[in-house]
Amino acid sequence: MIQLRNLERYYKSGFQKSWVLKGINLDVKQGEFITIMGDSGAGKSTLLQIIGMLDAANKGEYNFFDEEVHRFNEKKRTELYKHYIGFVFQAYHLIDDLTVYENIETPLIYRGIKSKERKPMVAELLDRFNIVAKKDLFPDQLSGGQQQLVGLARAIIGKPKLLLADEPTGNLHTKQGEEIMQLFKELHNEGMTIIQVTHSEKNAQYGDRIVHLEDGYVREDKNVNELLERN
Amino acid sequence: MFLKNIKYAFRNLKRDKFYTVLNGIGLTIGMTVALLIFMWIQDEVSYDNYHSQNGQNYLVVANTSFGGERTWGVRTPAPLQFAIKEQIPEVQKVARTSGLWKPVLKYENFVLSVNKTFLVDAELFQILDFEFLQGDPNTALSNPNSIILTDENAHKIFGNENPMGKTVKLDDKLDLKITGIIKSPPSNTHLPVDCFIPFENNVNQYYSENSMSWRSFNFSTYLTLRPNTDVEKIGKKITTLFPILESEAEKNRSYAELHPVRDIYLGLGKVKFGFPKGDPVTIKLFGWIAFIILLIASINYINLTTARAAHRAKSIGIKKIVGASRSQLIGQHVMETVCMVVICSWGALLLTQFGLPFFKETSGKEFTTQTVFSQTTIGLIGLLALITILLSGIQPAFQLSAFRPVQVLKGSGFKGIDGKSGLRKFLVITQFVSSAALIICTVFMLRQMDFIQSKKLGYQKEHIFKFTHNVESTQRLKTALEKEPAIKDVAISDQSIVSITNSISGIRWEGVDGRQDLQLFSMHTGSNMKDFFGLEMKNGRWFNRSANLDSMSFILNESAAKAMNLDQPVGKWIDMWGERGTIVGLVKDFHFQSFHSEIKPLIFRQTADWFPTMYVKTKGDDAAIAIAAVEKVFKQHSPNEVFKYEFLDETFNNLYKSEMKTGNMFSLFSLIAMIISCLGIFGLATYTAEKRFKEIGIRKVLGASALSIVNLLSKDFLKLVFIALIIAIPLAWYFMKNWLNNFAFHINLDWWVFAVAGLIAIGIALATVVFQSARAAMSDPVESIRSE
Ligand SMILES: Nc1ncnc2c1ncn2[C@@H]1O[C@H](COP(=O)(O)OP(=O)(O)O)[C@@H](O)[C@H]1O
Ligand SMILES: [Mg+2]
Repeated sequence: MIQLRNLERYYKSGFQKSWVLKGINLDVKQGEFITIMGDSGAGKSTLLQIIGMLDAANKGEYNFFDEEVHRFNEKKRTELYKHYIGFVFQAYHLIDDLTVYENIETPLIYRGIKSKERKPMVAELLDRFNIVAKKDLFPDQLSGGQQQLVGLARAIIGKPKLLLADEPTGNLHTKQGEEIMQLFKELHNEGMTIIQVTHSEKNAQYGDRIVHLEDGYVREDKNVNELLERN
Repeated sequence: MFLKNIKYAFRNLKRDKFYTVLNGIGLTIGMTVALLIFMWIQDEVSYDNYHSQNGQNYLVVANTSFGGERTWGVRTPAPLQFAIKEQIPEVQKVARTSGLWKPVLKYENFVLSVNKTFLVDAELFQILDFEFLQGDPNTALSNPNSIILTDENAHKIFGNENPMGKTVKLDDKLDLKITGIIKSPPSNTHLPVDCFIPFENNVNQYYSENSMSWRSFNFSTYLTLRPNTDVEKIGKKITTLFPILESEAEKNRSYAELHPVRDIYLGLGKVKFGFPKGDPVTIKLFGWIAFIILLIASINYINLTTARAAHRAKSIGIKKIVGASRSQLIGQHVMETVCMVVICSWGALLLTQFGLPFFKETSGKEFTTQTVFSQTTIGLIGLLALITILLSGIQPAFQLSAFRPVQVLKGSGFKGIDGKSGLRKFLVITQFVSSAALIICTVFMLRQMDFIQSKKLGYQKEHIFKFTHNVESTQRLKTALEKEPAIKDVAISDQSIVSITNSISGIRWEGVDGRQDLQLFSMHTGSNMKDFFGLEMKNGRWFNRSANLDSMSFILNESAAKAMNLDQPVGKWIDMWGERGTIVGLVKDFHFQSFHSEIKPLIFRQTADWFPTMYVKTKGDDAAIAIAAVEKVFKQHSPNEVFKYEFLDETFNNLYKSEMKTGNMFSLFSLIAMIISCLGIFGLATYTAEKRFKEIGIRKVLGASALSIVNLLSKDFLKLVFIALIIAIPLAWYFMKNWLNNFAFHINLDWWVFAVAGLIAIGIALATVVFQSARAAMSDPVESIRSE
């Protein structure tokens, strides 16, 4: 599904280039649940954003379903956002002026799905995530965990092939975090490809593969089971 | 999607109340002004648009030579109509009209002044449209003793009685039967009407044999052409109908052109006197002002929207991530503008409604509530709304929808957005260039108007009113008036001294041979004219008391003496068409026409036997008693006339009526442009202060004075206003130079006026910005720091 070859990402400041990613090679197969780990500033978010096509690499190859991503224009990217990719963020990034219901509904609106068909889809997710009672509240009236549930609901309502999550539990209490991770696991079981960034070893265990970033390279890329055995 | 967008738009507008209100006020005022201007323009360009024969109906205008000057006029000789009918088959209908001098209608004891009464050929009704409420246009004027009235006048005389068939008396000499009632023509006509009477048989009651000849240009000639006729060719054909009038054949020959009826109001600039006239240049000018004001209001909207883009950036970025396309986002933001503009349009309609009486006072145009809510106006406001949406909605929508989502996620500030402030600066400068230029122009216009009013005319016009009359023995009326205690003095002449229009030519004088082509303006008056108006003599004397002694005496003004090349005019003879008289006095130049023209040569005579204009000087300031006294005496001498007086100050101001109106409207619009511009920087300053709230707090804690903070917050704006001023000054200079060129006597473009006007502009901007900045600077620093 995803192939990264010698991916480089640097920032220029004046005459100086500072590399965040120096040579990333990574393959992701459909249905995998991958965790990206690494120190703060290691470039995890950057990598995730490149995979999610929010950011672009300076060098190297990126193929998404055998198509060369660096050739995509904005229109094509929008298409992919709509149909293939869902995002979950540490800071939730809900739209402040929309209610819970409206936040979840937004992706469907942009897909041009009719109001009649939207309703049952949103209702189903509200029900599944146990937030039916909150549907008319605005984001700032929710707890962090609830906000993240909304964020996740919004990310998956369009049934994306790929779910990208950047420290989804970073701002949450342990219990709330566990709830979110449990949902990830369910989605994974339903066949969704997931790439998450986390600092928590425990959360990493929900996935089936862990990629360690260091100094702009992939330092380690192991199956969870292998890692478990080694410990 | 559509409904959602509307819903979200309203939610956004509600959330940003302060800026929404600010934008709303600006857009509403801007659209109101633009709407009023559009309505005004619409009315100006709609003159005579209702005639069914438009496209085929024309007025004959004639170019004639008069005293060496060729002039265009809307009057033609009486025989022309018959000649055209006989000799030009392409002409379908042709009709003459001629307005009467102070006509009065009498029915039993009721007297009505019907100033717009015309002698007409019945074919006129097939050339111009008049709506007959009663009677038949084809036969109403068949009988010479018939008259057609407007419904308005009929109602004044007869109330609710049926006027048809009643007999009225016109000017105490014609008994006329009412054979038709027409609806009063709409206000946008070149030919307002009170009554029509048949031309044939009645015309000799008003015009001498001589005035009916080919030599005399007294009648308007209207005609319709067959379809597909070459208009220019017909004009040339009509020219050939004029017999040669003077010996110097070609030179003095009159020639004719056809002018479309629809275009009389705006297109007859070359004709000086005649019908009411609109000014295409003013129309264009106001069209531009409407656009500029809309632009200024739209710039506010753009700037206040994009300046605060940062707080929109997040939701835009997220929407993109969840799959919003650029066009969807643009649609959403344009929708917000659309909602805003639609609301403001309604506001503008209401405000226009309230502004009408005020606008009438400034512009002289009367619109009714019905006009405001008419189809045309709704169409206009729709058009306005569309222009406003295009001006103000598109740019922000494109700019906002261009955010890259990754910028949002990193939260690394919105440098990309602030980088766009170059455009914002440019827009602010544009606003202030326009409004400062308008303000400067206003100041010069007002100064010129002031100059006109305060300039020494060379005669005294205070405490004097004039009236016109039909009394045959002017002297008897004058003597009677002089006996009245409230009246100080009475003077007579053949026309208004404020605007002398009669002129003569073809005279000879001592020292030159042959007939001269010199044109002299000419006024008939009496022996007390000089003292009455305080005219100053340069040489010689004024007329003697006894008119008989001085019947062949002339008095010149300085310009006339110069034009005639006479160093010592007093004592020299003038030959006026075979009769010789003597120049007895030389009067100092005074302004007897508008300041648009130079002081022209003028000759005073007292040979006339008719002095229809009378001037009355009141004793002291209590004019009412004098007016009442004059009215009483007037009624005794001329019971069938309607007494109407006008103070010379007013007559004088009427000379500049169109400039005054233009000036008034212009000042009003400039002021509004300035106010809207200031609303804009007020908003921007508020936003800057908000954004830098914390920084201000820290600076204050560090010991910055309030003044230095005000300075910090305002100096960027003032820089922009200053740059705008530097651009505005040459622009204003250019426009004013052109405008002042319309006046032969005008003020100078003094540099200090620019400076003062500029200071006013900067001062207003300063006050606006400093007010906001000072508020921020005065706020409690601790609070601002803690609030983060
Ligand atoms: N716009 C930018 N300009 C310069 N450096 C940046 C920019 N964005 C991110 N970086 C740098 O890239 C590095 C990686 O950032 P990030 O991918 O967010 O790390 P992580 O998510 O692993 O903590 C950081 O050192 C950060 O300073
Ligand atoms: Mg990160």
